[in-house]
Amino acid sequence: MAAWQGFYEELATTRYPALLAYATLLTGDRASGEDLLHDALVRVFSRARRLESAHHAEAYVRRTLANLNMDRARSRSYAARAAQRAASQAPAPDHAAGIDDRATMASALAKLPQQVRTCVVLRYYDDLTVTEVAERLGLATGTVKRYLSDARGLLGEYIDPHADAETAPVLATERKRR
Amino acid sequence: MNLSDFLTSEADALEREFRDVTATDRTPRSIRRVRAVRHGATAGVSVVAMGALVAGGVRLAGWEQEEPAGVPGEDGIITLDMADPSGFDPLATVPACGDLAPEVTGEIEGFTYINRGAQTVAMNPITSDRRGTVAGSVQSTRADAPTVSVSDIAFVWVQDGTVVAYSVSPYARVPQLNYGLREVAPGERFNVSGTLWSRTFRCDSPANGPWTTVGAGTYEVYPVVRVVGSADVAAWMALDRDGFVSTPGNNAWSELYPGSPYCVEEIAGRLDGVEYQGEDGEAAPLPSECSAEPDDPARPNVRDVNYLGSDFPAAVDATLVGEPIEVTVNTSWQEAADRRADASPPHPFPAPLQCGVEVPALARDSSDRLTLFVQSDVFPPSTGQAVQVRLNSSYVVSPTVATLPEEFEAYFLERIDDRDYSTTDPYRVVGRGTVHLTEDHEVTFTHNDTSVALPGAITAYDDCGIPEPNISNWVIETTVLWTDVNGTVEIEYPPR
Repeated sequence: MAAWQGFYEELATTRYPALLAYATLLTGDRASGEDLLHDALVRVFSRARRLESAHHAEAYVRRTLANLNMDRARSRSYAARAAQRAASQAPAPDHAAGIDDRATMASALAKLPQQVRTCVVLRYYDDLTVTEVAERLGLATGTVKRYLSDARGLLGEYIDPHADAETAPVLATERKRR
Repeated sequence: MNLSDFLTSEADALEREFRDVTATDRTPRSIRRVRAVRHGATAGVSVVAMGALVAGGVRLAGWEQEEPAGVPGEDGIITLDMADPSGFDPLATVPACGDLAPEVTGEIEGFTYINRGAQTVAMNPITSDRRGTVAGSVQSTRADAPTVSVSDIAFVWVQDGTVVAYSVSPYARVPQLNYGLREVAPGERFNVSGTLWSRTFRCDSPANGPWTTVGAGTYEVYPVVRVVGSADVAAWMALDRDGFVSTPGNNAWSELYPGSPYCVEEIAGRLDGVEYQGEDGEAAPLPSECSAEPDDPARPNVRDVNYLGSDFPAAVDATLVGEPIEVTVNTSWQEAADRRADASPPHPFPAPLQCGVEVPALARDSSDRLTLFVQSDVFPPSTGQAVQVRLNSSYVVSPTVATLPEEFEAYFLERIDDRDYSTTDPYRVVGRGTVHLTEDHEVTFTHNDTSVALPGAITAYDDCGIPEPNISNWVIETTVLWTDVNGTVEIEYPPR
């Protein structure tokens, strides 16, 4: 048995539910998550690479899941991307009534464009900093900030407004509160 | 509950829900197939500066010709024009401008389109209802499981029984290609969607450019989806599997194949993004190297690609037209834009911008067709520093030439309150510079969504007395001559 097969089988038997959960978190639905996970596994295990353990392979797969999801979003047609741009510029919903249940929050998450959703998952689930998200996805930090800003438009009150402060240093003397 | 807690509990709940789910046999089969193809494609070949494409099945120049492409179920090689989207274009066979409305199709080659959601859409560009989302499903009734691409929904706009507009420019023929290169199981139904919004091609006003807006009124809008299974699809499957990030014709990364004149620049610019993929870099979302020359320099977008017969089990080409949706546009987008312009304050970019001046958050250095960026390894820049001016084009009518002046001003901006990350935060000018283009001033765009970098230098920089600005945006002030089939127009940046 080739080394990749051993690691693959370990992931496929013991870690598949966790990976599928992560993929579903990224995509928003199970079917897309399964497709994404299939593609990520094929991508990781079809190449000759130094995999030291199943844990190491899982890290590769998780990274690839996020990147593939971002790539898919990038690769979508003009219309989809245009819609996402338009969505990102749409006025933020009225949060006065608050989002006070899981279903509503899930619904709000489902409205996020995939790029934004991917950044949100890496930032708020994987607990990466903005800089780390940018590095992970090969994006400029400004782009990640913009995506997270877009997310705030829909999820505002559930994102700690101070959570990203460390990633966006601004001289105190320059800050101007509106 | 905050978002982090929610996502954590959601992941836990999903993992519990999936606790009995295991990977199917399909995944290891695919892995073995790809490894076999890769091994076969590379064995015995001296590979010098070959990109990921080559490793994944692109035929090397001088290889013995294999069997011709096009036989379902058999492996083959196809000469693929990566910039040609016509094989996937959902509007390729719909009625032309002025023709009668398209006929609603039933089942074609075992596929049926079904509308989902609202059958009436009202849009009012003055309010927030500027867009309408249309949802549908494609149902397979086939007994086999073909691998197909499924387009997003395109639209044919009909008024008084005749075609008056499309959602996609028939000039550009951009495919609304979903990332739907997939195997469709018997009986499977999958969802597709499309967005109705201001940008349409209107039959009666091509002189205004390919992209314009429909007027106020009521329309019958026919959703159109194209389902394709072909050697082209199989070739794209092979490319996709190998990490080649592109879709036919319409993608920001479509110019990044090895051999592309833009590849080296793009790779250099995104090297950081590539490196995270691992030591070998092979899983990077871009080809990790660019070959020096394409197979045919005259046709750099054309490649011979090995594909698997299992990705082409059956030939399918079905253009599905759904029942029309009644779309009411309450106010024309032009009228809405005029009203907004009337309500807006005077032009917010009095040139030249002074240090410390605040500019609106949504003032972007872009127009509908061209976005300009300053790229630099170091921010803030300084006098003499090399920069690149990147031009990203959209809605290109091929070919289009953009001509920039030799010098122009760039203003570097800091978001005034980035703690809030609000899209309405204004910016402040924290640096000003003169950009001098050192080589080309003219760019020819041949494909939609092209990205080109022009080398330049900052010949004069004023740091506005702020030693460590947190530059997060920039504005280029210039006029670009834009020449396409409709003639030459001047586009001012920032857009006025």
